[in-house]
Amino acid sequence: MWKYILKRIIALIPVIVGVTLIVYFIMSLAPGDPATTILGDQATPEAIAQLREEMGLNDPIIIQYARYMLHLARGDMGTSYKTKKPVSIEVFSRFPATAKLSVMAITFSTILAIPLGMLAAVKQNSFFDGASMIFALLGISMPIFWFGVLEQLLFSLKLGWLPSSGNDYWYSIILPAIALGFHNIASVARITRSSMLEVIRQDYIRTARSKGVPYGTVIRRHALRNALIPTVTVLGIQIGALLAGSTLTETVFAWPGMGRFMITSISGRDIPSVLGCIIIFTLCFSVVNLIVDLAYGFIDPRIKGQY
Amino acid sequence: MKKSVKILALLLALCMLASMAACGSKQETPAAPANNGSSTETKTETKTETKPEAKPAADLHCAVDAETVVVCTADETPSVTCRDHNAVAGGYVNHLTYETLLALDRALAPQPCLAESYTYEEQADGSVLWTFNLRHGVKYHNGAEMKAEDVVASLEEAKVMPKVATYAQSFNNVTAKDDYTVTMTTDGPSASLLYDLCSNGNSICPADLIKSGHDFNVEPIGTGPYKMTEWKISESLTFVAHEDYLRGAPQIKTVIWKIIPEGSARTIALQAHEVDYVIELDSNDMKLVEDDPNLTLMNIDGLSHNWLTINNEVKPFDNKLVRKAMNAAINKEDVVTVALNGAGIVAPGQTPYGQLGFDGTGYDHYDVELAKKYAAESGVDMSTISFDIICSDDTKRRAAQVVQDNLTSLFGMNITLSSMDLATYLSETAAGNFEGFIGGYTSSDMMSFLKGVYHSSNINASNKTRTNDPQLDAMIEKALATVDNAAREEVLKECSRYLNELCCQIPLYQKATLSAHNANLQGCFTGASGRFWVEEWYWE
Repeated sequence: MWKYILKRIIALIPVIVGVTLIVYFIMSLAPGDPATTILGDQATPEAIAQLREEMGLNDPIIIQYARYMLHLARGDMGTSYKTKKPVSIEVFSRFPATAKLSVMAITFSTILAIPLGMLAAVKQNSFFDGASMIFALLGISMPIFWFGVLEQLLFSLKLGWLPSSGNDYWYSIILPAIALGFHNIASVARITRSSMLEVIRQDYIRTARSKGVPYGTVIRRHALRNALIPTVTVLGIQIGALLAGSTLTETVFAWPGMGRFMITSISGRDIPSVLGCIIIFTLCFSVVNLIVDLAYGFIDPRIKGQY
Repeated sequence: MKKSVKILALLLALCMLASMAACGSKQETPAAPANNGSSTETKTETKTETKPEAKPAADLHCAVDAETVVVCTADETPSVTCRDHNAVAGGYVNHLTYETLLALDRALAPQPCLAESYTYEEQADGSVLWTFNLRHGVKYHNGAEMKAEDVVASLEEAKVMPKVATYAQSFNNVTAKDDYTVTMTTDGPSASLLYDLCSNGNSICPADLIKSGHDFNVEPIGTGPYKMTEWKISESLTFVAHEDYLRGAPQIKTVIWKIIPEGSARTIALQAHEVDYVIELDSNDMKLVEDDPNLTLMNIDGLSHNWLTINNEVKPFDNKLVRKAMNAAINKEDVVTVALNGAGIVAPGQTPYGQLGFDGTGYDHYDVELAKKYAAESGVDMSTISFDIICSDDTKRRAAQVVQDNLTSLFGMNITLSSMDLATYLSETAAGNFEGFIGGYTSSDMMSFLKGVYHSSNINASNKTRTNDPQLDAMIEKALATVDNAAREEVLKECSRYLNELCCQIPLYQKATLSAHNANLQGCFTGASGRFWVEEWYWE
C-alpha cells in the first residue's frame, strides 16, 4: 500500500506542472493588464509603465513562467501583485479557515444525508421516503446566498443566538457550515438511497435475514457498509469542490477563507496569488482522492488486496 | 401520490414559515434617545468642548464597550503602508495611522496639518520655492519626534513608488533647512502642490525606519490618531488610540475594523449590534436603516461623477451635436432611480457638482424637444447609429439599460450592452477599444479631475473620451498654475462652462456616500469625498 501511496504522490508533480502551465498562460493571455487593474481608472501611462517594469511583466510570458517555476521548485510561491506579501503567507493564512469550513460542512451534510438516504431506502415509497427526498431537494434548490441571508435574519437578528458573520467565536462557523452543508445533503442522500436499494436486494442480505440476523444489524453491518462505496466517492468529490467552491458562503458570512481571495485575485489579474490558490486546491483535491481510494480498501477488503 | 403531494405542501409551508419568521419585523428594542432618531444626515456636527457622560455600555447597544467602536467595511485594504497601494479601502485605514503636511478640511480645502504654516516665493528662473514650517513636538507611534528629515525621506520615497507617484510629481528638490523647516520647489506657480501634499501617498514616516527598510505593512508607524496593533488577514484590523496624538488622545480607545464584503450582511450586523458603523451601506437597505430608531443613516452627496463615455474619435460621436442630442435625450432622474435606488443626484454638469469651480451654465438637461433639435442640426440620421455600451458592474448595467431604452425609443438607435470584468474593462477602455461605456472619476479637487479626465496628456490612460482640445488643455494648465483660490475658481468655472458646451461625454449621476451607525455614536461626520474622522467620535 505504501508503494501505491508513493506512486500517487509522485504523479502529483506532472499534475502541478500541467495545472500551473495552463493557468499561467490563460491568465497572461486574457485581456486585462495587472498593472492597469492595480492602479485603476485614474492611472497615468507613466505610472502604469513603471509598475509593469517593477512587476516583471515586460518579459516574454515563457520567461515569466520559467522564473515562476524555478522559484516554486525552491518552495517560493512568489509575491502577490496586489498586496506585495508572499503568496505563501496570503494562502496559508486563509487555508485553515476554508479547510475548517469545508470539513464542518461535509460533516454536517454526512451526518444528516447518510441516515436520511439509508432510511429512505429501507422505508422505500413510505411517507418518510418522500419527506426525506423533498428535504434533500430543498437543500440543493435553495441558493446558498439566499439561504445564508435567511439564516442570518433568523438566528442572528431575530433570535440573537449566533453571530451573523466573521470568525470571532468558536460557534461562528455554525451558520456558514449549515449553509454550505445543506446544499450537499441532496446528492449524498440520493446516492446513499439508490446504492442501499441495490444492496438490500442482494442474495447475501436475504441469506443473513434467513439466518435470523436482526433486520437492523443486517442493514448496519452488511448493507450499509457495501452501499457506502459510491457515497464515499461522492463525498470525496464534494470535499474537493467545497474547498474550492465555498466563495459564496465565505462572502455572505465574511468568512476569512481562500475562495474570496481567489476570486479577487482572478479579477485583479494577480497571477501569483491565483496560482498559489490553484496549487493548494490541486494538492487538496489529489490528497482527498487518494484518501477516498484508500478508504475503499477499508470498506471493501477485496479492493485492499489490489493495492 | 396523494400522500406525496400532502408532504410536499407541508414542507413548503414550513419553509415559507421559516422564511417569514426570518424576514419578519424586528423585535422591539429599547428606543434610542429622541435626538438620535433615524435621519438623513447632511449636517456638520460641531464638537463641543465638554461632552456629556456616556451611558453604560448596555444602554448604548454598542458592539463591544463604551471605549471601542467596531467599524465594518466591504473591502480589505491591500496594504497598511501609505505608499504601496492606491485603494479606497487603504485610504480609510491610512487616515487612522498616518498624517500629511497638509490635509483637506471638511470643505475639501487644503489646510496645515503636520506643517504649521507655509510660504512661497517666485525665483529668478521662474520656479517657485515653497517653505513649510513644521509643528514642534509631533510624536510618532514609536515615541520619536517628527523632524524635517522625515519629510524629506517620505516625499522622496513617494516619488519612486508607482502606486502613488502621480501625487509626487508637482514638487522637486525637497530639502531640510533645519529640524522644523522644509523647502521644495515647483516648476512654476502650482495650485496642485497643496492638494498633492494632502494625498495619503505623501504621508510622513520616520526617516530612520524608511532607510532601514522597516516593513510598514507589518507595523505602520505614523503620527496618526491610532496605532495598528493587529491585522487578521481577511477578517479584521485592530487599532488603539495614540495617546501622544498631536490633537489629544481620541476618546474611542480601540477601533476594530471588520471586513464584511456582502451589503445585506453588513446591515444585519449593524442591526444586530455586532458592529457600530458601516462605511458602505447598501442602497437597498436605506429604508431599513431609516426606519430603525437605533440607527442613524448618513446620506452625503458624493463627488463620484459618472457618465456615459463616448469615444470622441469614432464617427459619428466626433460630431458635437450628436453628443448633445444624446445628452438631452436621456432621462437622468430615471438613471438615478434605476441604477442607484435613488441614492445619488442627477449630474448637473460636465464637472462634479460640489467642487470649487463647478458651473452648470450651458449644460443641457433632459429635454426631448431640444434633443430632437440637436439631432436635426447634426445632419446625422440618428436611427442609423449603432453602438455597444460596456458595463463593468451591475449598477453600471442598470444605468446603461435606461440609456439604451431612452435612445432607442427616441431616435431608434441600435444599442447593445456588454459586460466585462474590471481588469478587461480598464485595459480596453484605456486603449480606446470601445464606442461607449459607463464610467466615472472620483477626485477631491477639480484640477485633478480636469487633468485626469480631459487633458490630452492622459489619452490612453484616464482621458477615456480621448478629448484632444488645445484650448481646453491650456485652460487646465492655467488653473493648475493659479495659486490664488478666487482666481483659480474663475478659471475652473470657465473650464466647466467650456466643457458643458463641448459635451465630450454624457453625465448621468453623482453617487451618494451612504453610511450608517449606531445612533448613540456621536461626532460622526462624512465629507463629500467619503472621508470620516474616527478620532472625533464618542459615545453618548
